[in-house]
Amino acid sequence: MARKLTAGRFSDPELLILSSIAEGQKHGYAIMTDISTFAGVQLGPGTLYSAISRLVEMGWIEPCEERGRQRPYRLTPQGLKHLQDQLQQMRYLANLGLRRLREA
Amino acid sequence: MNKETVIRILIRTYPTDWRLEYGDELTQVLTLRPLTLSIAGDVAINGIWQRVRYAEAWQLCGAGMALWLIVGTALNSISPLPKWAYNHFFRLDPLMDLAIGYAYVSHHAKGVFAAALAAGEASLVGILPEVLLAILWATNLLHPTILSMSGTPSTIGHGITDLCFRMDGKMSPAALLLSVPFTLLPALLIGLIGAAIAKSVSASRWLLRRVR
Repeated sequence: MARKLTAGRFSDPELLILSSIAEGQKHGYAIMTDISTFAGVQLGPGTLYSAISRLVEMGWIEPCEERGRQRPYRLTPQGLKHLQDQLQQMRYLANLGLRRLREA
Repeated sequence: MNKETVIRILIRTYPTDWRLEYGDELTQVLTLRPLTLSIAGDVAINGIWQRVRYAEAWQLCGAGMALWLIVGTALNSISPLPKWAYNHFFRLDPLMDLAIGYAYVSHHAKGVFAAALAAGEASLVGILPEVLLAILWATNLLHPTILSMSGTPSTIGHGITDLCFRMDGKMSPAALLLSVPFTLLPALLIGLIGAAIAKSVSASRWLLRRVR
């Protein structure tokens, strides 16, 4: 079966999941509750698992050994690099915006 | 309907390969949470989206053709379309079949017969609304209006106006179902032509490179 595998836009659910897993390996439900705690965003289970499957296909996260029906995921080295790049870009944009606001 | 049944139905919206990989985990997460309407919607929408992502090109093209037919049928039901506008809903299919045949050879590196088959499969998906209409008509659940070719509505029923058979005289659901093989054969042929064009273009390019 053909599977479209494009890097696509680094949209919010992916960034939130990577940020959550950056702390250590987590399974789907733990990721969802963690995101709700640290970002105040309620990711739907469908959105969460669609994003997880995209991240796995892109090689940014990988499943660890299964614990019952819940499988934890961890960051890959490529995923870690992507997360660092994205967060640095966000920091640059945030700093730039704040500086311009101060100057205005 | 209990929660487990609803979850099972929701999980079925995802493609089989995806379900095998993530189905159990998603089921577990859904079991642990209250199943609200928004969560059910989120799961169903993402399931459909995953189906689109996993779909073959011919499935997407076929779905596009079916959608085009539904749009045409809906417009024709609201108000009979003029003949020139109506014909646009028929011109798309051969063009799509040709494009599928061409693309399967040039972009997907498939063989000529695989490309023709893809065009045929797409056309079969494309006429699914027609088949559904014929079944509803045959079971007396729907009585479509048939419009004469001259444009004067010749009503033999009520409700939806059939898009494909705008013709003089009587039309039956059986005749509508019989149109399926007549859709498939030209689609296979046109797909084959598209594939042959792609092969010719590829051969010409190769020849030009050799000459240079």
